[in-house]
Amino acid sequence: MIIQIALKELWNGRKHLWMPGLAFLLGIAGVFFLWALEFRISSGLESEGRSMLGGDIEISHTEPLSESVVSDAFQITPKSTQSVSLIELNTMAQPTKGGMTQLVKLTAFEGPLPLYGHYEISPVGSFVDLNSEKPKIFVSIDLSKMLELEVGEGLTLGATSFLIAGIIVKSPEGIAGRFNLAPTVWIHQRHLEKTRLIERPGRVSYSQILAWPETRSVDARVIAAHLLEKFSDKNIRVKSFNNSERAFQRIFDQIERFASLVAFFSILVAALAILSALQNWLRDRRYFVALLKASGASEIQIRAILLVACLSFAAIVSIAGILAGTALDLLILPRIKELVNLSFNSSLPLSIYAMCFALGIAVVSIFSLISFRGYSEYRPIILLRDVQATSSVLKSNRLTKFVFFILAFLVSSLILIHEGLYSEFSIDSQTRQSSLFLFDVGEDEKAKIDSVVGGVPKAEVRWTPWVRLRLLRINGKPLEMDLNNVRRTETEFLVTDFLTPPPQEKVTDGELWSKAYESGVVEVSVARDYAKARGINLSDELDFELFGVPIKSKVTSLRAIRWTDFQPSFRFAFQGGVFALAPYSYLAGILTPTDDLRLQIKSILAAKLPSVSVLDVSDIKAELVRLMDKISYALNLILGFFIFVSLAILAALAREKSLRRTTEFAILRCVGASKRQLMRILALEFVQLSAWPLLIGTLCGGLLGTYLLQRYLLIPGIHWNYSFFAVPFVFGITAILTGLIFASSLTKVSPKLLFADH
Amino acid sequence: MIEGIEITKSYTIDGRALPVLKPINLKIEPGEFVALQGKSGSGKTSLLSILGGLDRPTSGKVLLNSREIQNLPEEGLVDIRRHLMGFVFQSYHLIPTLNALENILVPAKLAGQENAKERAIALLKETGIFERRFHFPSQLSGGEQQRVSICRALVNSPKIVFADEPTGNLDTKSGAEILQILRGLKGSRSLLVVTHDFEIAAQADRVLEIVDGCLVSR
Repeated sequence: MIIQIALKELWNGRKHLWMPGLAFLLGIAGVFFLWALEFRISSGLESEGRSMLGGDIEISHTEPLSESVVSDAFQITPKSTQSVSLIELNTMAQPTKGGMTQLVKLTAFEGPLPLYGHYEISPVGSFVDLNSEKPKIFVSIDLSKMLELEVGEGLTLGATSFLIAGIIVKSPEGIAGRFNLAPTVWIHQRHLEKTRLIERPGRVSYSQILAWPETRSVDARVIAAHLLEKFSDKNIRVKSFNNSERAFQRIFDQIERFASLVAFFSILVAALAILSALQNWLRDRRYFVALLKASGASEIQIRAILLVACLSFAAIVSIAGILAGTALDLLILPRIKELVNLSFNSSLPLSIYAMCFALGIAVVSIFSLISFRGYSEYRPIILLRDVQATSSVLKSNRLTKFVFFILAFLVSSLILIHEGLYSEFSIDSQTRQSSLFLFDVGEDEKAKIDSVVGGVPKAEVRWTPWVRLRLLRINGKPLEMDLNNVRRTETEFLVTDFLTPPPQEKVTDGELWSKAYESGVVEVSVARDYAKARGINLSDELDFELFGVPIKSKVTSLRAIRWTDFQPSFRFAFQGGVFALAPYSYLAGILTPTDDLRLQIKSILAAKLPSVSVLDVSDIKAELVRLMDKISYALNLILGFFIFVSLAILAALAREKSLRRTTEFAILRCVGASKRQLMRILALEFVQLSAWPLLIGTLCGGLLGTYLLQRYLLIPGIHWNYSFFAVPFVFGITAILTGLIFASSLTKVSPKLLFADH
Repeated sequence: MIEGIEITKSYTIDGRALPVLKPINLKIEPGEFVALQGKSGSGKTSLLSILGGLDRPTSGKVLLNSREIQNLPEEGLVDIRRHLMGFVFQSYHLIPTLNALENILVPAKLAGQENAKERAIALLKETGIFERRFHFPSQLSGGEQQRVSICRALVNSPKIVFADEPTGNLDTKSGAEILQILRGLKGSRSLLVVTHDFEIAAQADRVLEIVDGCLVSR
């Protein structure tokens, strides 16, 4: 009986509920879509990471790995674990037929490559083919295009010429693959020694990739952590596949955080629409409630009827929202796939469906309970004499003002966050930046490079010294490993020292040193995002070790870094001059005024310094610009979605507000109000209701947005601009227009409804 | 003043026409007080709303000062409602967010009369609710609300006032007071009152009754 009455009442109130219901449906659809996106990106990154690493974990060192290290690893990995040994280095390659040289990443392997991931080789072949007496090589398609190489031709690496046995058309490189520093070539290790390229050990990486059957539920991060603890040589690095896409994890993290905020805000504003709708629905049910009370219904029975009606509404809207979210997901998925270049699981876990459903039910239940607070006013006396109390109208106006405030508050804060992210992901094309990089330059090569660059007009070289340090303790406590946080598993860092930071860095907390290091505790500046992930604060004491020499330092500043500038930046930067006596290596960044001069310098350097790796980042930057454009598009899409939901809610509110005025408009009509006057009355009412809440909401939203940008997304700066200040106007005008559009039906209200018979 | 010629009204229910008013002819002269009676559902309110331009007849004509008004669009009726007609409802229909004085001033403001306050105050005094002018409808008794409603109907000095069961929601004492006020309305102003109240009917110049959709004089 209770259910029957509840459902009938719900059906009777559909006129007032469909539009807020639609707004809430959009909210649920948005949350579903954003959660699905979050799941797909993280699972996509995971599977991509495994393919990229080629296994589950990688053990690496700058020196050959000893037998004991490999056997230690096999002791704690699952049975039937397989391994591949890799030796990698950057070198210059030249076709044997002559022509230009090119920096390549040489991968020499031994073992059943690949353990994970798929390589498409043309003509069809496998890596086993390279294990032959005659030196054979596979080259990436990029290199074959750059040097116009074909299968059957020769390629010289160091002192040996290789026969090109195949071209790798496709390899599991993931999103980071687009930004590889150099195209890759593959040879078998049996031919490496003959090339004589491993005579400079500092530039060679030795690694062992281990993989176990995918069905094993073994956490690679746990194995990696155990191995790190077990190895006595602390220069050995171990990483799990989860770290592979690290370079882009930060960007995805920020987008995910933005998406989570939008999801949260969407459901919040949708809930406000529900609150408003339920209050009005309940007001419509006042005679019904009074009648039930007069007929002897208990409080519990009345609450049960109302609650059943609300829960039925919640269930219908949540299911419809999930279906709409699924449709949205299917519709946008191909574009997202194209955007992030990740392979996505086609199916979503049931938990996302369940969570969205539970969220819908929970939000409606909570807000219906809030609405129910007012139902005790509906006493049976109103059946005899009903005058709508002034206070109830004012209460309804207060709720409308509150909703206006919240909408402006949330939208303006999201716009601000969007602006911050937008500027973070936009590439600075105005500032003159280095496009050629030379890594690991020794003191002996420095002067030669200076003279090459000095001979080219308007070209300039910027030197960045670096050393490799090990972080031992923070505030006297040994580092704690957090396997869930990639950044908390690292101990070894490349660091630099300077007197003033490069242009892409900005000190946001504390104060940077004003003079070079003389004696005592060394001042250190930490990248702000890393400091937050690691829990490092200003004034913390950090103990480092440089080739066995302890270095005591104190954090005096935090720096925000624009990583997307693709300029050399470091997590730890020390007071200038502190490494004066340390064995420096240099990173040279060369600025050139034109593309022609860049290519000219590149070829001179290749000829004069064949052993130095030259990296041309102009193509990578162009690719990065394209990717960032797509990310900005995704941000616009997410923000656009939220604004759409907000406007839908605003429309629902304005419509609801207008519909409430039927009797009043009939009275006004009856006493001679023209259509124009009615419109003007409604418009003025919306202006009066929305002006202050929108203005105050926008300003408060600005403060929240700035706070979230700086503390949650770690993006410095003030991003208030015209689009932010447009919020109250756009929302105000939308409210008025929507109100007027829906109110046009009010002007057709027949005054005859005022007669008692009607 | 106002004249209904061959007025009929029927409603369509489930595809079938249900006649409410059979051809009715009625004329109300200036200053005439006419009471309209009949059983529930007899069509009293339908006739009142047609004569008052709030509803359209199925057929027939409504002449106000010799001008046909039954086919005028809503906007065309605006001026008539502002200057020629006033309405009083059984449920008062006051705007809950405005106080008594403001409610009375609404028609005057809509008609662009800026100096109607004096007239409103005079009406408030005349109906004995001047002291309650700043009270909201929810703070007034039924009788007081109906007085405000009458003042609102009169503020633009209409030529005819339509009242639908003006004492229907009131106790005997309040009803008698409202009757007193209605009686005072007489003069050059016409009055058409739909009522079950024989006291009111007794004060009228003419009493009409609707029986089965037809108008009968009593």
